[in-house]
Amino acid sequence: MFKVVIVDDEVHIRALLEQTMEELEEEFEFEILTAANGGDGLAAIQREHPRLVFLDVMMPVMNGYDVCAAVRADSSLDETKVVMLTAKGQETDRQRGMSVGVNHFITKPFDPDEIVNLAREILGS
Amino acid sequence: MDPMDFDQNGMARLGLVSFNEEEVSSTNRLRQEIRTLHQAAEITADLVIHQFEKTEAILAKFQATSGQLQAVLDAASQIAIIATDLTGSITLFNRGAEVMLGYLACEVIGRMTPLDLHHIEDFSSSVTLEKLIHLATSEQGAIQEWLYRRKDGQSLPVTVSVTPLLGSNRHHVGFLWVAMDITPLKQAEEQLRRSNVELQRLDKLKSDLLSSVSHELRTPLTSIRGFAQLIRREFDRTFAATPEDDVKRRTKSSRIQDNLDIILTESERLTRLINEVLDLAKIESGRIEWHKVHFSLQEAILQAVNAVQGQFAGLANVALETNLPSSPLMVDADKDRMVQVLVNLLNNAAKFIQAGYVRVSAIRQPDGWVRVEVQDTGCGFPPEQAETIFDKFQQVHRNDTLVDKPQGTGLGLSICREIVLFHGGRIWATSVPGQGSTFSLTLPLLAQSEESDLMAESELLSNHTIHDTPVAPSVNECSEQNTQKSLPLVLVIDDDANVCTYLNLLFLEQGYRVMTARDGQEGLEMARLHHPDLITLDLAMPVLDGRQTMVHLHQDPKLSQIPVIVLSAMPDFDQVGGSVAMSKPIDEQRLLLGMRLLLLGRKQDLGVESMPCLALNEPVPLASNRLPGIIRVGDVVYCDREELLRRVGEGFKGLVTVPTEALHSMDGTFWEQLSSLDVLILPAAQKEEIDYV
Repeated sequence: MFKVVIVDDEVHIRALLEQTMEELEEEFEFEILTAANGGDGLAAIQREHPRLVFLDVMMPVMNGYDVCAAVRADSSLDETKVVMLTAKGQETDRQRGMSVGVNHFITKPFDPDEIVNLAREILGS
Repeated sequence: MDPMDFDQNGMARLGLVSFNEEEVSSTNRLRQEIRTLHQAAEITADLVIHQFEKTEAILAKFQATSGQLQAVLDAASQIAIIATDLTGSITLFNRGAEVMLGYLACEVIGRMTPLDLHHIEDFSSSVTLEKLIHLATSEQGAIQEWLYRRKDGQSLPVTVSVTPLLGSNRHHVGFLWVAMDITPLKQAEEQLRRSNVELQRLDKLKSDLLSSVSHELRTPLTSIRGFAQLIRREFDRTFAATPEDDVKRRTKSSRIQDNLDIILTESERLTRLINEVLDLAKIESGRIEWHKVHFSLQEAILQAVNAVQGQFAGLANVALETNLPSSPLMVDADKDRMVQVLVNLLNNAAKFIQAGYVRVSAIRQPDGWVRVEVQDTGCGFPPEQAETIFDKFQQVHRNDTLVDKPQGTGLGLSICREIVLFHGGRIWATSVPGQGSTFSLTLPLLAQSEESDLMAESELLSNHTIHDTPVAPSVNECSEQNTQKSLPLVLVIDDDANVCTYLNLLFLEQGYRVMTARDGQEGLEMARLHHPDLITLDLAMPVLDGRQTMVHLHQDPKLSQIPVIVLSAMPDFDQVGGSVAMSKPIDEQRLLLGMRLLLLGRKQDLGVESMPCLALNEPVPLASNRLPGIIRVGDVVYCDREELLRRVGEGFKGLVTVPTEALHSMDGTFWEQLSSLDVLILPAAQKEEIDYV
């Protein structure tokens, strides 16, 4: 069974992502875990070895870049795909994200369909 | 009687009394001397008096002058005028100097030197008066900015100019120091500097605020938009009324759906607004990252036109047209941003138009610039708003901001202006209210030589233009959709699937039958089998390229009569032969016109009106067979440049053909004059000239 970890300090965004992912429940068997800050998020990722991580950038304890860098430094997490949630047009954010090994970027405010399509692609591959 | 004689007699009488004769003669000599002395004294006295009077007059005159001079010196109370002798000792200290420095003239004259007026710590300890003078006079007419020290110890910023003082005999006798108090100037400068710093701080604060606000707004907006969409979906699936439900329930259900849609469209509008605010803040604060590349403007224009197709699809009575020159207009600019500008202008035009057309034209200017125009037949705007519509949150037709709801964010044109200005261009708008408006912008073109190098590049880019066109069913499936034999058959030979799809759709729309081949070999086989009425040929293709395909077509007597349109982004696209050559990106209008004319040459039944034609036959004289298929179109007049322009000037309406060879020798004026006409560029003559019909 796939694990999906959602790391975002905004409770509503976590709920939105969780509910959005329900769309895929019939296609894939997966379990969703959430974390409200970067530190808890990294711990969850290292414990659960998820297939997919939704990662916010600005968060308490540990920001998204540092979480992703830590994930990429762990070779046992090579299969984990990281989707970063960024603000639109922040080219520097994107470059920084790319440099720490982010796989995909989704800009806020995002379209739930975008999330579904991307998650389907990742879980299906 | 002479008084002397009288005296002489009197003395003589005395002498007679008391002196002997010898004594009398010596007395006479003495008397004579006294008389001489007396006379001399009288003359001297006259002279002295005369001299005194003269001196007095001079003195009086001098006093008057010196009074004027003093008045001048005193009046210059804002300016300190100090004179020194060669040793530096102060010899003159005017009223202005007294006021400015707090010393009385008598305290400084003969007692101080200009060095004493400085804060000594302002100079190195070794500074001497000579060095000071040298410093001040080393540059001719140079003005020094110094800090003087007043008698009370306070500092005074001054500008000082020191000039040598010449005496009456033109000898150097000293120096004149003229100092001006620049305290107000310094204060103003400081104030300006401070307000500048403050402004920069505020500007950064504003940008930071905008940036962080728009960033912060995204999070709640994400929730609003996301949940609205989830609810809409969930509702549609689980709760929405079905036809079996009663009317009341069905009405409520559709009300809920409509309302959710409103939340969605409004949140999208808010997203757009936030993005534009952020864009503008970034551009204005110089923190935007520009990605300059070389591209053809036609490319960007077509991309923009594609992007707004959806919006125009809702405007049944409005035509969206382009009028672009066939040779690429290469620019060095941020392509995405330029597309953004064009999309914005087109969006704008769509908002204010009910019927008519919106036309994008690109016009090469003779001075190495290009002008792009977006012209519409919309409601226009009052001419006095021509400037202000580019300002932030300014929109036309908003007499009452409470009633006339703005369409859009009011930032679009501001962003357009910022982007165009960044690229060194200009943007402006003109309008006739009720008839329409024209938004124009200029951009510098890349030098001509670079253009041809870049044409290969534009082939890659050309895929973008058709990217957004609706995907047709697989090419082969629709190849022979229309099998009515009477309709002209067009064979498209191109290895790019996108181009094939695009041309397929385009030609089907025109009522032609279409077949496609993905390389030259396949194309030749299909041509031999089906005898198409017209072939469009790409050059860079696998297996058999366009150039070789052309040779084979020429050599086959059954195929050599088929008109060929070369469509390629290769730099030498027009050197391969064929009936007509066109560069990619494809200009639809020109392509379709060329096709109609070529097909008309073969079939008279297409219903195309006969069209007069002017054929430029310089620098190479054109034989009639260089106009394949067009010959029977109408009257063809072969003429030189001058004659051609004359006829055009006289209002010629029709087709103008220009041989490839003439492309480089014709200037911008030439093309400008042809801008309203249809122009066909004829490919270069082949070595082995083919006989067309």
